[in-house]
Order: sequence, then structure tokens, then C-alpha cells
Amino acid sequence: MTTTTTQRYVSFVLLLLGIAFLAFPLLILLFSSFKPNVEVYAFPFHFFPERWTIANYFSAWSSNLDRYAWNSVVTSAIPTLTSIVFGILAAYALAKMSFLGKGLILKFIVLMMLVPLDILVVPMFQLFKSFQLLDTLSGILIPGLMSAFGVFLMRQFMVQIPDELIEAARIDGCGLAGIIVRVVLPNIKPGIAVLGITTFLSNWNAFTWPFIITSGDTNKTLAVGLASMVTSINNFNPGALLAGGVIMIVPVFGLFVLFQKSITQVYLTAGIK
Amino acid sequence: MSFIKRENWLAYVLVGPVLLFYAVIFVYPLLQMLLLSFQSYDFYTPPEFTGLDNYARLLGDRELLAKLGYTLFYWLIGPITIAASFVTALLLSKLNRGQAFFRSAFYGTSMAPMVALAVVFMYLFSPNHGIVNNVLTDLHLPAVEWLYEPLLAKTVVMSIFFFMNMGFYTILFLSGILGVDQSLYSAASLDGAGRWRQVWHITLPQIRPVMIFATILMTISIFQMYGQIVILTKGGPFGSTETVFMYAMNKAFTDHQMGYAATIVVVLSALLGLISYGILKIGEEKE
Repeated sequence: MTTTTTQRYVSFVLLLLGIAFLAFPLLILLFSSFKPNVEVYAFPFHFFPERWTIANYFSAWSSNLDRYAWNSVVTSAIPTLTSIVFGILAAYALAKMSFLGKGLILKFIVLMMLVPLDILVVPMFQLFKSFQLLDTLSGILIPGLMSAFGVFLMRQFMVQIPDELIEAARIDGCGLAGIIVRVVLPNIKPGIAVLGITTFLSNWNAFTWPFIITSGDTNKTLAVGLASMVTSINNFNPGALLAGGVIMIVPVFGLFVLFQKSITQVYLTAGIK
Repeated sequence: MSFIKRENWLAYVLVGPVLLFYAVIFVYPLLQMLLLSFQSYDFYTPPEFTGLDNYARLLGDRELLAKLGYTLFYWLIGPITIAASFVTALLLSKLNRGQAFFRSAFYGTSMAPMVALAVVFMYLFSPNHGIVNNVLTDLHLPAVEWLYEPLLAKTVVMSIFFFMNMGFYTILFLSGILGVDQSLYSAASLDGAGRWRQVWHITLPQIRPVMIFATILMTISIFQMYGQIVILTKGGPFGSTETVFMYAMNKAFTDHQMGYAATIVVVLSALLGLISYGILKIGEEKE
């Protein structure tokens, strides 16, 4: 489509308005988290704090948020690591080896990618109860240990590696481990970055399952802990709650900024979540 | 020959852990859920087989029917989000400078955790002293009981969904739009087709697979909305913001009717499967 300069300017302005609209709640959260508690609900509302303070962050941190944050890190980091490792292994077999049932397994993986596991909370609760995993960190993180999306994404990257490269490595005396480390890994780096971030984030943001299986304060993740703080918003100090929201977002945006190039690139070319 | 056999064996070892995982975390619970749907189970006494009782109850459950209505109402945010994302993606595709910035910015907003957004929305729409009411009062307008009014409460829940998803779908559509063969457009402009006709007759048909995928993905995520409702309204006022999924969760974990909850989820999943299949078929037919 031919586009005139005026059209470009109009698009630009409209997009700027759009992004301002989408980012608005996040900006309110950010700026209000620096307001002293008396100012948070003060009338009339000011977008920026009149007096800046970071007291909310300290008070949030000392009211269990340190524990929630640690739980979130544990229940997000471990699944990220295992999803990557097992994703690469399975993907290598699916991309570069031939064996009976391969097509069927691939279909199964795609199906697992599309089916939301949340629909299974009722029987999962029963299962985890019989293994005494309710209200434990292991219970929270086990359903995320592997990712069908990860297998699929890794495979998409691996099928693009020429067979000759792998054959050459084999002739040079590389075993499976050698081939994966020396040939495969260097070629799928952007894929690993994307898989790492998406798995980390989906576990970091996970709500339904951790909410249902945690009962005490000890094992709540940030998502669940913050949610329980919201529902008591009227008797809790609201500034700390807003600070908690920011604390939950910071690692997300940190990772995004670090890896945004590979993320948007992969989505743009692969077009998959 | 022995080489192939060895490779065969190795492949199963590599794929094994993932398959085993999904057998335990998906296949087994799925079968268990089907079994539960024919049982009555309250956590404390052993499950009891009750045949089709749960299904019969489900057919006569007027409350469930109401929740289905609310869920379908929530579904309306789907087309709105898709339309907004598509238009944004179209605008983005026209930029030759600054596209990378907007791409990252739009996608970035969709990464914000749901719970963090729920925190802000609670701050904004809290009925007594929320910021929106604060501003309304400041403008000498009457304050509104956002979360205590069934329709408004639903709207707030839907807005969170919009804010969470618009950026992602924009990037998804942009990837589709950028993949359209540019020569189709030049041919169309030679034929005198205007801009909107080009969008309607070239862009939309060309990105149909992306649209179908987006519609299905969005339907699934709307039908299992849970967190933002729990946090903002706890399902109220009068259960008017509950979805079918949330109703099932309450039946399971508040009323301890695991069997009936399983039945609801089984039927809901079947319904979701049917709807997805329907979207796929309708999408393909028009080709």
C-alpha cells in the first residue's frame, strides 16, 4: 500500500494516543506508589505525588512481600530451567531423528499447547492432595515443569539447522551431548531467550492454580499474596499495595527490556504465543 | 540397521520426560475428571458413584445458566479487543520509522501481570474513594458504585482483559499484515480500489489464519477468566460477575462438591471445544 507522509503523521499520533491509553493504568500505579499514604486517596487526585517517598516499598517489603517475592522467584526459575532443558532434548528428537510415532507425538504436543491446564484444577487438586503437595512450593511449580510450547518452539528453530552440520559433527566424533552443545545450542539462542522469558513470566504471573492450592501465608507467590492484600484494601495501607504491584511488574519489564529484540523478532516471524 | 535402532531408542529417551509429564499432569487428571463427573465426592468421605445424577442436575441448574449468560456477555470484549488490535496493527504497518519502538511498547503493556493490573483497577474503581470517583466528584459529577452495579462491575472486569491482551494481539496481527504479499496491493490500486476496499478485500482475507487463531485463543482465555474477578468483585454483586469456570471453582472449593464441579468443567470444556471447532470451520468455509 502506498502511504503518504500525512497518513504517516496521523498514524503516528493515533499510535501515540493508543500507547498512552494502554500504559495509563501502569503509570498511575507507578507514580501513586511513591505517594505517602495520606496522599494516596487524597482529594482532589494528583497524577504525580506532591511529596515523593519510597516508604511504601519498605513497608510492603516488610509485610510478607519479601517472602512472596522469594516464592515467586523459586516457582518461576525452576520451571524455566527445566522447560528449557527438557524442551531442547525432546525437540531434538522431534526435529532431527526418525522414530515410530513421531507424527503422533508432535500432534499431541501441539494439542497440549492449546489446551489450558487450568480446566484440570479439580482433579489436579485431588491428585496433589494425595501426594501431600497442597500448600507447598513444589505443588505450585510442578504443573509448570515442562512446556509443550517450549518443545514446539525449540523444534521450529531446530528444523532450520541443516542436517549436514549435524552429520559433520557426528563424523568428527561428537556424541549426542556434543552435537547439542556445539551445533544446536549456538543456532537456537534467540529461541531459548524467548522460551526462557515466556516460561518465567507465565509462572510469575500464574494465578489460578497457586491461588487454589495455597492456604497459609508461607507459600503464597507474589500474585496470590498481592491478591489477598487487595481484598483487604480498606484496612491495609494502600501505598504498600501499590508498591507491591510495582515490585511484581519490575522483573517482568526488566526481562522484557533486556530481551525485547529477540522477543518481538520471534513473534513477528513465528507469530505464536 | 543397528544404528537406526539405537537412534530410535535414544529418541524415546529424549521425548520420554515430556510425554511422561503430560501423562501425569494432563491425561491422568483428564480421565480422573471424567470419572469424578459421575461421582459425588466431598474430600472427606470416599467418592461415591452416582451415575448421571450430576449431569441431570446440571441441566436443571438455573444458576449455572445465568453464569453461562454472564460468560457469553464477557465474550463481547473479544471482538472489541480484536478490532482495536487490528486497527492498531494496520496503523503500525504504515510507519517506516518508529515502528520498532511502538512494537515493543504495545507488546510491553501486555506483559504486565494480571494481578498488578487488578491492583490498579481496584485503586481506580474502588466504590468508596476510588480515583475515578475522586475525579468525578472533582468535576462535580455524581460518584458511581462501579463494583456494586452488575453491568458496571462486568465492564471493569472486561476492561482489565482488554488492557492485558490488546498489545499482544496487535503484534500478532502485525506479523500477519507484514506477511501479506505487497504486489497484491499494487495490483488493487491499479484497479482503482480505495484504501478501505484494499483492507477489506486483501488484508483481511490474507491474514485469515491469524484471525482464526486469535479468535480461538481469545475465546479460550475469556472463558477461563478467573483471577481478576476473584480479586475485584469476588463474583459479586449477587454473583453477577461470575463465569461458568468460577462457578465450578466455587462448587469445588467452597461447597466441596467436587463431582458436580467436575461435571460443569467437563461440559464447559466440551462447549469450548465445539466453539473452537465452529470458529475454525466458519473461517475455512469463507475461503
